[in-house]
Amino acid sequence: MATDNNNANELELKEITSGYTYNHPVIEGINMRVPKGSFIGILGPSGSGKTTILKTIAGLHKPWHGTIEFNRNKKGGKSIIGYVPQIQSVDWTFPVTVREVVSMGIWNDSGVGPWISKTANERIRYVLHNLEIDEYLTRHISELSGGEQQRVFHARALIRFPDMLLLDEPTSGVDYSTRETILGVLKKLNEDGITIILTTHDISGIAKRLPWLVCMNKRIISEGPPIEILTNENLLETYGLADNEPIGW
Amino acid sequence: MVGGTCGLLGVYIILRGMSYIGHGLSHAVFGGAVISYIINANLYIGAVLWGFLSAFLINEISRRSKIKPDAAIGVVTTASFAVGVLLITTTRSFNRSFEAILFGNILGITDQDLVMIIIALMITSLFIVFFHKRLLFTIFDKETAKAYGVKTERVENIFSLVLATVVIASMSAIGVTLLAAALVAPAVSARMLTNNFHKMILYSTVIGATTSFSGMYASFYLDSASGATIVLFSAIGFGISALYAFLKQKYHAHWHAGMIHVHSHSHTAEHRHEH
Repeated sequence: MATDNNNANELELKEITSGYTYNHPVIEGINMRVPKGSFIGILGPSGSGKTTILKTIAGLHKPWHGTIEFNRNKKGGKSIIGYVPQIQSVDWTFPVTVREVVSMGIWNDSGVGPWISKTANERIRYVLHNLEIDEYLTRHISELSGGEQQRVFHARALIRFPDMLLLDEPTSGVDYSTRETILGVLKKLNEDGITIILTTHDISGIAKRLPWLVCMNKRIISEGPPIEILTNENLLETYGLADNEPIGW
Repeated sequence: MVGGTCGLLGVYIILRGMSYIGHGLSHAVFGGAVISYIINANLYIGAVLWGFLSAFLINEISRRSKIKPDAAIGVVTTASFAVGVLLITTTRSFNRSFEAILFGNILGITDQDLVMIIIALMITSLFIVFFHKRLLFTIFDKETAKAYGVKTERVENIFSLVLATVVIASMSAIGVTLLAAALVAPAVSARMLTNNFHKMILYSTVIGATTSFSGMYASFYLDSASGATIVLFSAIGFGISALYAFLKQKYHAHWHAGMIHVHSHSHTAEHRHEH
């Protein structure tokens, strides 16, 4: 449950259990309330189920058990989600330009023809301008650096004008300054009212700087402001080291 | 027409990383064609039913099982081809029409074959006009496409059915054993020439149509099997594209001190030129 005085929820997960192989749940009994306009980080080691939670919220993965309740947005519809996968999940030598990748965000709702509509083009320019990456528009995606690829993925999500952004490891594989730029962009988007949920395994670079953190490993271990929950005890349990002797020299 | 259609669809096949699907499906329809012949039904009825069933099975197996799609395609389609071979050998019914299906015979094309080719071309064109965006999104980033409401499984199934239609329509002209190259070669040649998707579609279609036309013409004069000649012309097209891509990378023209230069140089990791 995130700290936010606004009691309207963007979504609420109730007793979610899910996984990929029968009888081997990746996440178990997950309860999470996401207030509108919150900024939540999910921290955990590889295989802890953080990506599975994001995918379940994004509708990519059906929970075995439990329910997800979405709030209605201003237009009365279900919250619009902007999903940003890990940049390593796609082939960046694919023969498309930034314009095409960004426009994919609204391809399913922009008519059946193969062309990009005038409205879509205007939205692409608007989003790229807001992210200060106007000059990428006609570039081929293979020419982009890791940080630039990440921003193109952000643009593809933002072109949907989402109520909520789900980002899977948005700073993995990028350098220090790119990480700071990405965090700055996300902070600004959150200030503009977009609810943000991201996964990370970077404790010092990301997790401890977020307003609300959820530590998990298959189930939720603790949640709250980082300063309160980033304790040795919680971290040892999150990373499955509770029974191990600390390594020292 | 056959070459252009194969070239057009081939672009999506190679980008999807499923070059083997064309190879597999073309072998699979052979089983259906032989069964149709043996029960005295229209060749295309068996090929269409069998081809669609194989396309569906390939999709489902690769989606649901732990094995990779190429292995799934290998098993399903080679078994289907084996059914055809088994039936031919047990009924001792090998004749010229089977030879044409296996290796292609342009001169033996009937009006019915021609109608089938025109139908396949129309279906492919309509599919690309109406499904291009959803298909490209699915190929590039299936997960996000699904999260954004694209019915990715439906798109993949329809793509496989269109591919099966093209394979069936092309089998008389090119032959099932050689069709995979006709599907893939123009697309990989086009990929060598450009990084732009729309140009790739155009180049692949033009290369497919040109190599098929020249291959067909050559087979007429050389009295050779049309499928094999067309495929060899496609391979030559691929060789020329690869050579062009190599030379373009090594020697490319650029402006220097107000003059255009063409000379050999390499690119460093920072994308600077070294002469």
